Amino acid sequence: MTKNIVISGETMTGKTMVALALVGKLRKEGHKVGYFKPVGSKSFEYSSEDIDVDEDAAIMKEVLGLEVDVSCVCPIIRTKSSYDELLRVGHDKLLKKINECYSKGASGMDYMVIESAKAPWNLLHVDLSAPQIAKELSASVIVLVNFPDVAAIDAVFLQRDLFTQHGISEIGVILNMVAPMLKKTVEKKIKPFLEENCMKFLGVIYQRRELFSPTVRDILRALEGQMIAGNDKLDLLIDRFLVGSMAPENALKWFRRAKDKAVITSGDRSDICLAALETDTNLLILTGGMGPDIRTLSRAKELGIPIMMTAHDTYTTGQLVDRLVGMVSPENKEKIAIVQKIVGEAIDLTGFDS
Amino acid sequence: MTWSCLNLDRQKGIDVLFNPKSIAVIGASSTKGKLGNDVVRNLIDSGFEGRVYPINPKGGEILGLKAFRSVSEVAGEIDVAVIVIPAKYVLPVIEECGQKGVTALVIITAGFKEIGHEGQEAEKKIVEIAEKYDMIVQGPNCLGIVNTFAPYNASFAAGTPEKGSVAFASQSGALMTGILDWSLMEKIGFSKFVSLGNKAQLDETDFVESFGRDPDSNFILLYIESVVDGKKFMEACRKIAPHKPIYVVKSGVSTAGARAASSHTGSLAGSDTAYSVAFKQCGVIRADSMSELFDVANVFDDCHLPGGNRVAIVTNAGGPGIITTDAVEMSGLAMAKFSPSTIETMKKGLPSAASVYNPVDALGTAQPQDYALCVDATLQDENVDAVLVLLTPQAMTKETETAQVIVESKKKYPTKPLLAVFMGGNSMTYPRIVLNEGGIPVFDFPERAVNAIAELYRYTVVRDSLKDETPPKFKVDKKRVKEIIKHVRNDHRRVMLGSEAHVIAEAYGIRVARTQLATSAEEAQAIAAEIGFPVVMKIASPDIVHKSDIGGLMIGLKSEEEVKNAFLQILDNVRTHVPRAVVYGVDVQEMAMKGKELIIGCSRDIQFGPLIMFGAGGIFVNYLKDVSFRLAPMTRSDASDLIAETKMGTLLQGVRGEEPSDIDAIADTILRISQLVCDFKEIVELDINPAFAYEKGNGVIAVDVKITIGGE
Repeated sequence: MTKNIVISGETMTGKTMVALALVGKLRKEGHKVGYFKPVGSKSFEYSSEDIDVDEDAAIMKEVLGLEVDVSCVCPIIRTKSSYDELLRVGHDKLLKKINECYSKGASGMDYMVIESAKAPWNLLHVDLSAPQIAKELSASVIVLVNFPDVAAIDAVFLQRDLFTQHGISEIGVILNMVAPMLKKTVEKKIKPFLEENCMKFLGVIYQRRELFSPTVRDILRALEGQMIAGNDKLDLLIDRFLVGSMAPENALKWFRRAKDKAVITSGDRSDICLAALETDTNLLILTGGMGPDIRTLSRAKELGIPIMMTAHDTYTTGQLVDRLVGMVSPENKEKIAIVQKIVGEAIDLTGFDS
Repeated sequence: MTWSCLNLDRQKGIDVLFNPKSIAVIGASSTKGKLGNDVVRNLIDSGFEGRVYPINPKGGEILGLKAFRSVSEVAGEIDVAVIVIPAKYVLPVIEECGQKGVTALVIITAGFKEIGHEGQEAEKKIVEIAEKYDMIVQGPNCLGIVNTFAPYNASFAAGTPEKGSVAFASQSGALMTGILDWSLMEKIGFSKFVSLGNKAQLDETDFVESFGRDPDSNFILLYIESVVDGKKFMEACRKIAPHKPIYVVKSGVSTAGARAASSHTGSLAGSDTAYSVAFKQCGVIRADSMSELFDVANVFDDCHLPGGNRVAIVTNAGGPGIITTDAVEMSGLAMAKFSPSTIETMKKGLPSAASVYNPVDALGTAQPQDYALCVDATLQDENVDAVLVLLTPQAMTKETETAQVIVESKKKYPTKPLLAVFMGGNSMTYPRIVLNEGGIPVFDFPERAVNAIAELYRYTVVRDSLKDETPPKFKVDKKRVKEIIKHVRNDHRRVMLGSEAHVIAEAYGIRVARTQLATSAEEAQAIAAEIGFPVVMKIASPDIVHKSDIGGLMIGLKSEEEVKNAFLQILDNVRTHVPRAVVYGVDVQEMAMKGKELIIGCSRDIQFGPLIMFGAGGIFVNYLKDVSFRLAPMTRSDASDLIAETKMGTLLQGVRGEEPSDIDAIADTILRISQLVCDFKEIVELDINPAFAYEKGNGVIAVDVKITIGGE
């Protein structure tokens, strides 16, 4: 029989990330694992005229190599065209669709990893919220909660109550984005506290920039840039951005503080460029449309470090990249590997997966 | 292959390079104006007595010599191959030279590293092939090589320098052509003249080593934009400096200059401070300008080193005499005090209006015999180490005859430096030639002459101060440091937390203000109670550098209540000002009694390794700029010199009735840091700021330690 695991959490808690890691982990153990997202929202990038597509579904189909149609990986797409778009279809019809698609995806699988909608209470108005679907599919639930400080404990309990009220008994908890200073508190106090309160503690993911790092490709898109060197390095992750405008004698000191970084500077600052190249830099971003001088370029090629040129000035470039959050994408194998490693290692399903 | 073995081969190769029995010029040409023609012509004109094989695919005859189509066609052995063919043909030719058994290659051809990535790859290939056949490589992109003692000139320079004692290597070929031309006018003789080019294989250190062994070279001059291997360069110079002066002009001192140098060479130059310190520590004298470099060479080529710093001035004009006296005092030299017999001799021979004390003013009426009298007298005087003769063209002055008597004096007393300053224009042209021919360096104005003697004197001081001292070895806990570095690596960080850095300092026997990381308010209270009140609390986050700027630092916390509030307040401040910082907690630290605020730091220089800094600490470090530097490993003398160089060093000795500080403990702390950064290459940046120094006997305490580690 297929074991169903619903991953629930509020928006931007990393559900897709955890799902990806979970599938990877279980597959590694030799299981057949599918992915299902009953309720999604319309992505204009991935949708066509005939078919509405959820972004996660499209990406996961490709990344995980799912055989099911993308419209069945995520059967119900909310477009938000009106408050009653789903009411008009009606609970029964929607549920039927979910069940049909689930059956297709789950056939022959040992596990189905089921990602909930943006928030666990979504679609409560048609009785198809995450707990209700979980109950329907007799699933266990993993509750994912961002835990930047101790006050987030209530969010865990809110979800627990939501699920227990709908008759779900097996609830696991993963805390995400936990500040390293809470390490001891989480392990020594919060973990036992949650277990006392009928939840299984499955793991903790600490604040790690890599998980949200954009790639060179993401940056290239955001800056409408041009690659001068390292066209084959578009999947490199950028952990942090530094602007190089300091006196050269200070550059090394600053650049040494960060690894896997991008340095933003102007092409005529060969001293800054060279200092950046010597200190674990993954990308040199040259602003103002000024390219590198030939020796900087040749050093970068020698070290295999990509150089990108953009017409934006340094300030604008800094702003554009500052809020850039790297998403998992099918072309980005390295990022997928990192997510599967970090998140996979953080989760322990012992006693939960049977 | 070990480094020393490789080095030995290079030196053997350089010996052949300087004294070849046969030279092939690959790319020799019969067309005047082509480099391949210039090189063959220079070989012939320089009087090279070995075999010269012009190589040209067309064969025939070049400048009267039979040309060969390729090196393999040459029947005899070839010691040196000079390559002047276009870059794209170079690689196969090198292979051919290797098969022929050539020992050394001088690659004049340009178009390698300096033109970009492809050129760089080709350059690597050159070295690869050459080393396969045990060949050494000078260049590429160089002017060539001259040994005036062989004699031979395998360069395309316009002319051959005169024979002399100065060995010169330059990273700029164009500069050499200028220097060569100028040296012919100034009569400066060279023993060796080497253009380093791109330094694909042989670099400045290889040539300095060889100049050091060369009996014909007594004086080493270098023009460099960077050194390839700082440690190796220092080791080589350290061995030679006690016997021969090494003077260096290293360009790229200014920010813009450094930028120009890095874009010229395509490599990140180490900091200019590191260069200066490296030179100082290995006995190399850094000249500030090319003119200074060659003034010194000019004086050295003609004179001996001064035995001390006491200078005599002989002049026929008061004003220039005073100007020169000022220059002497300001350059670190001293005005000689004549012995009574010298004064007596001059008193007898000069008019009574003349001044016979230093500076000696023989008056505007001074005749050649007056100059002879004064110059002889001062040269004889044992209280004089160098003599400077000034002359201005006045109504009764006989310039040429005066020059002649000075030359005669020099012949009588050849061992003491004697310099002339003949101020004037046309009237001085011929007298200057007389002086130059007579081996007396002559200058237009006094300052440059004084500076040249001062620089030579400086060498003697540096030479005598070089000590054979080994750095001390303290008993330390390396294992603990290794563990922490490993832990930080595993946590994917480069920047250590304060608590981690403090443990490292402690493992190396440095007294630190006790620090512990608290991850909750209760933990902070418990730690504070254990350490004892009052305490200091600071945010622990690798993303925050200046803690006090964002309210991440609170001091003088006297109770558990205050500690709890501080913990919450600090976290709140950080959340407000740096919301994205990754926070590890709050460090709770013993509040050290205030002492003299010091900074002890280290930054790993790209070329020279750990550069240790010491000076006045606190938050105004960057504004006070009272810091001095040394390269690690440091000796005890290095440490005490380092401290003494700063203004803080003076304060530490106790001023205005204050007790002296514990300078021995400060030196110890510096030496322990030196040992730490030598033991752990992973540490790329380290700062103790502040460290508090207390009165003698009460030691030093490190209050804030920051460490950054590098990549694996």
